[in-house]
Amino acid sequence: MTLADTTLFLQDLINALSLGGLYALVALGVALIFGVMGFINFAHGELIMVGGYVLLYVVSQNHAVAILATVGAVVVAALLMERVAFRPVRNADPTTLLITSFAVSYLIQNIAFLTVGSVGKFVAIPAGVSDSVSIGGVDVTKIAIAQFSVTIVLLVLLWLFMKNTLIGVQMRAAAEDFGMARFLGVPGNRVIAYAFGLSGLLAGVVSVLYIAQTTAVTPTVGLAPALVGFVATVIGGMRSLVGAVIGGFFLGILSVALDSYLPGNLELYRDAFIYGAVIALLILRPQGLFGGRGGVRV
Amino acid sequence: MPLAAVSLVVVLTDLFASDVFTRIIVQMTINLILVVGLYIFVGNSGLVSFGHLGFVAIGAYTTGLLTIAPDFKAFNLQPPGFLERIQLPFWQAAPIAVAVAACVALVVGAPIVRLNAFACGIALLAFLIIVRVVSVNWSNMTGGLASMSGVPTDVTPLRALLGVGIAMAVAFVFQESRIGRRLRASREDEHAAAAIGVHVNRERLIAFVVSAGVVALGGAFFAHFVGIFSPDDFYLRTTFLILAMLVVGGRESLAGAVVGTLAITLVSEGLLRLENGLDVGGLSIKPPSGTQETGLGVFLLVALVLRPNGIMAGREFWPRRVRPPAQDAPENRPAAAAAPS
Repeated sequence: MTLADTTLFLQDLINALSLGGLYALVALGVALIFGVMGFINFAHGELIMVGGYVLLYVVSQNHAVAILATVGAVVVAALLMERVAFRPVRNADPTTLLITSFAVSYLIQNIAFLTVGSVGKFVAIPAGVSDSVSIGGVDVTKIAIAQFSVTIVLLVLLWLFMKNTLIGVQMRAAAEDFGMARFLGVPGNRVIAYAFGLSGLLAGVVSVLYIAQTTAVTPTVGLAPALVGFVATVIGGMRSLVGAVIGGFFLGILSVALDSYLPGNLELYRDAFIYGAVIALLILRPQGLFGGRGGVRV
Repeated sequence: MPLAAVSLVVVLTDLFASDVFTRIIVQMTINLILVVGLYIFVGNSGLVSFGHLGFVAIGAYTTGLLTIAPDFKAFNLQPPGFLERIQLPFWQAAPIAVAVAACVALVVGAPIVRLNAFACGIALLAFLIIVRVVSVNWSNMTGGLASMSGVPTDVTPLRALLGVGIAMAVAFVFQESRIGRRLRASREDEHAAAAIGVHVNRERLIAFVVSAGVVALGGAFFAHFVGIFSPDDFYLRTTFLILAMLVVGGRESLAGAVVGTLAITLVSEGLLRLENGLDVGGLSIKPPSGTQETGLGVFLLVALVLRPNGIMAGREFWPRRVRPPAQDAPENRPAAAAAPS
């Protein structure tokens, strides 16, 4: 490899890790809820969208205020979603839950169409965020660095939270076996509320990072990252938080690699290759990468 | 009986036909084909599919390619030579489209039906995304985002009714067949069914292929109804609508598929009328556009909360046939009764 090749490779690597980090955060948000509730929350993308619109209105404020307001609003939206839509159907079968979340997603999207319109709005992200810095000849955008570091920090914090706090341990117990955990005194409502709150927190952070790059927000802005998140969660093994993170990084790295190495005429079909790989992976490991044994005890 | 109801509506339509009303009825009839097709897989197997619109797309595009006039095709699309020259009538093109979709379903379904419920749902979503990416970019065959146009619009209410008739007959025969019964047994308890000798994956695959064929037929009708369509017609919004119809009606019975389609069509057309403006005692009310979809979302959520198993909750319009115990069942055998205890 020549020096130029090495530089290019390092740039791709940083982009892949940064994109993978974003996907990992989305996947974690989806996996947290799957753990305690047992369904994929299709409305996760709408949480990201809500964050985008909040950011649109607070972006002119001080950075810290803007970020806190956005994340806070998304946490509230996630808690509301649980209380209004999911609690009444909590005991229904997983398919019904899945479709309820599909309905919630459709409803929130259309409320957005109704209130803010379908035209994309430009979010005046402060100049400088998308600047590049040169580290040893490798050009990296500041946002890519921020994205990767935020991911790592959040992953570590979440890890500590799940290991060391009472509610974290209870959430892991509930993810193992919700019914048994309740018998042993784990407060069901509280655990579920925490799961939604944390999921909202992650979605809020994702909206800030994602909108900072797209600089535009539409009612369907959350769809693309959320789709990737669902898929990452499934290939990670559904109940495994580590798996969701690995799944997210896998998809991020795969996207960037295909972008770089697919020949020109196939580049348009990149997503077909990604999702084809996903199907192949699921066929090889139906239980996901970290799904434990394939068999089910009856 | 549901067929009779639909025929009645169609006959009435032909009598009192206004263009708008005819359009609504034909649209609903085509949706019913899609919902019934989806039901064949989802209702009988208990798995969920976010990917069936992919087969609708295959049905619509295949039919379109075979029925658009050659001159028009040469101008708007550039398919390979023999596809450009060919022009078939609808009744020949539709079966070919169904066969193509069924073949794709066989290849795609064979590995996917082995997955658990969630992985299967997501793998089918991945399939839908692949179909979309291909239909957006393979523009010499599909017209890409600029849409496929020039498809003869020759779907009359009567022909659409014929399509629903076929779809419902297939669904009925399938659900009453041995395969359908074995599959429903596996829906209730996969492992128990496997333990009494049901080849769960094989039955699922058969249902998947049949179901893909039926929704592809719906796609063919759709193509010949609207005449112009683009990849966006076969993506998440339509997936949502069709799935919502099945779930609101009750996904475990054919009657549920019919009732759900009627209910959602009624609500959504009603809301659309409302959105177009309403005069109440000289007072003109005009809600903002988007009211229709929002109202539909609320309706669906309320329906799910109140009736999680759907309006019909697994019931049919007719009582389910329960087979009397077979003559040679052990308890009916004189030898068994006489055996020393």
